[in-house]
Amino acid sequence: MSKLILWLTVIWVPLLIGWQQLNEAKFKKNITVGVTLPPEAQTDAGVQIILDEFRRNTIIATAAVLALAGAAMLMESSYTVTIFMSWTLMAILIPMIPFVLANLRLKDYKKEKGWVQAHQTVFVDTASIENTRTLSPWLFVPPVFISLIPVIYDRDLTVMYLMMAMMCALGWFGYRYLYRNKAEMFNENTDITNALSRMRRYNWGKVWLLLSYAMSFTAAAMSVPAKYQMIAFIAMTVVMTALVAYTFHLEMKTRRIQQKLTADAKGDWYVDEDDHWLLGSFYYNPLDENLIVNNRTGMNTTINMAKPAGKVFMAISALAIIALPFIGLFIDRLGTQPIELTVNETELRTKTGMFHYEIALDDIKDTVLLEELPASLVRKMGTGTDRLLEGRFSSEQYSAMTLLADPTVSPYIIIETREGKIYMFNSRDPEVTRDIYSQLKK
Amino acid sequence: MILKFDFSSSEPLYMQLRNQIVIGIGEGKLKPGEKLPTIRALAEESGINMMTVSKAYQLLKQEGYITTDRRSGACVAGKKTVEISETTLKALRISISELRLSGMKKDDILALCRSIYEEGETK
Repeated sequence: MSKLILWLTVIWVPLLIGWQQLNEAKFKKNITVGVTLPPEAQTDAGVQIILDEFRRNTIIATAAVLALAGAAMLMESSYTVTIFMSWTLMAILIPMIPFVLANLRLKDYKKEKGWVQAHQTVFVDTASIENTRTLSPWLFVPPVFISLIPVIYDRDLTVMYLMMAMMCALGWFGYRYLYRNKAEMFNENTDITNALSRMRRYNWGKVWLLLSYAMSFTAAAMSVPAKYQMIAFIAMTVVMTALVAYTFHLEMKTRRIQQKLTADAKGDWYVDEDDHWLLGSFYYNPLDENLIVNNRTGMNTTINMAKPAGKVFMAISALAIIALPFIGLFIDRLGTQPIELTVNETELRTKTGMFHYEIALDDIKDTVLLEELPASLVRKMGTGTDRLLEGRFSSEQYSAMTLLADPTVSPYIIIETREGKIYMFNSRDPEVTRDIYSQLKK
Repeated sequence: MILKFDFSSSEPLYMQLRNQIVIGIGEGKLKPGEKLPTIRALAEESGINMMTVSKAYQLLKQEGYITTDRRSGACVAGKKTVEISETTLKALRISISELRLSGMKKDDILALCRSIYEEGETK
């Protein structure tokens, strides 16, 4: 069941990526598949052949990623997360192939046709500078407070709510500082430049503001009592899905407007920054002082890889992506590592991998042996895989408990300390659990 | 007004900016009293270092083409009353000599000067 949920949460992503990739073949600001071409190239037969092939390859790549997902779902293996993460890596890399191929072919064709413009020239329209209004930071204050409300009645997870509040506040920083306040210049037409800049900035602000409010909703949903957690979880999923869908809608809307506004615009010259965009997607410009730059189409931003911080960021991102299967392997192995339980004269120790906790025997008030998991067990913080529950959880009976247990192997020991803290743990060997329970009872 | 920066040119970027603003004022694209972008905004927009933009603005202020004010920022100055500098005269002499050496006649050179001068008047 959890395997099915895991796949259902992501199976639609390749379709969105495919859709967005197909959109790259449409001309926006004279750019198609990351290559800037003169207006007359839009009807050129050679260009159309390359774009048709790109569309075909993108559809094939999307189908391949979906087929791999289908095969992975049917696979019976104890390495569920490794398979899932390996597929995620493929889902990121495979759609890039048609784009890179089309970009390289079109760049060669551009050279062949003599459409290459003067290098390393930057145009600035003084009438377009500082022409967009920024959102007030006060708009981001309510979600910060909403995220902090649960601290009043759910002190146990104060740290988590504080982190959520901080993320809501970071929404404003994301809006303000992950965006380069640059005019969307495309040719000498100031009106088009201003319209493109305002529209992009407006949509960018909407995304960050909505993200901030969605985060505060998540904090509120996480604070509801355990018996309503399922409803809260569904509501949270609906809100987050709606946010992703709306963000995608805004991205496509931005692209559509960029396409419409620049479709028939003719001028004496047009902006061509292809020299700085490696493979049409990665910005590398040692002469640009900015670290954050706006993508040429759509509303997203990227980083300048020529800056030292840009290089570090890119290296970390690349490593994180390549490491996905290994992270999967690590998580899968958590489920097979033994859970060690030991009792000595003074304390009880529980340990698996790097997770552990100790309870002084004098602190134990009550010990219970459960044959079934507590009802409505919900993870608040920590790890929750098929074969390992570790961290902070809540259930119908206990509002806050610390777990280190294999949910597939009954029984489970519950300890209540004199301070009122609840711990639940077991061994992967039921006999060991029963033995530890009898030792604790003595 | 459209500013164009050529990063591959041997002419320093601050000079490119200074010259374009002078041409802009001379041709009437920038009117007296018109606000210029702030140093920060222009640097962010063009990707040029703030120090470079600041250097160009300081030079323009020194030469009397712009005025700067803490509140309203940089503005195009009124009609320039400062006498023609030795540098400008020297540059003009070099340009005229170059044109003469390229084989142009006096009338052609004067016609060219007139045409460049009138470019600004028509804008």
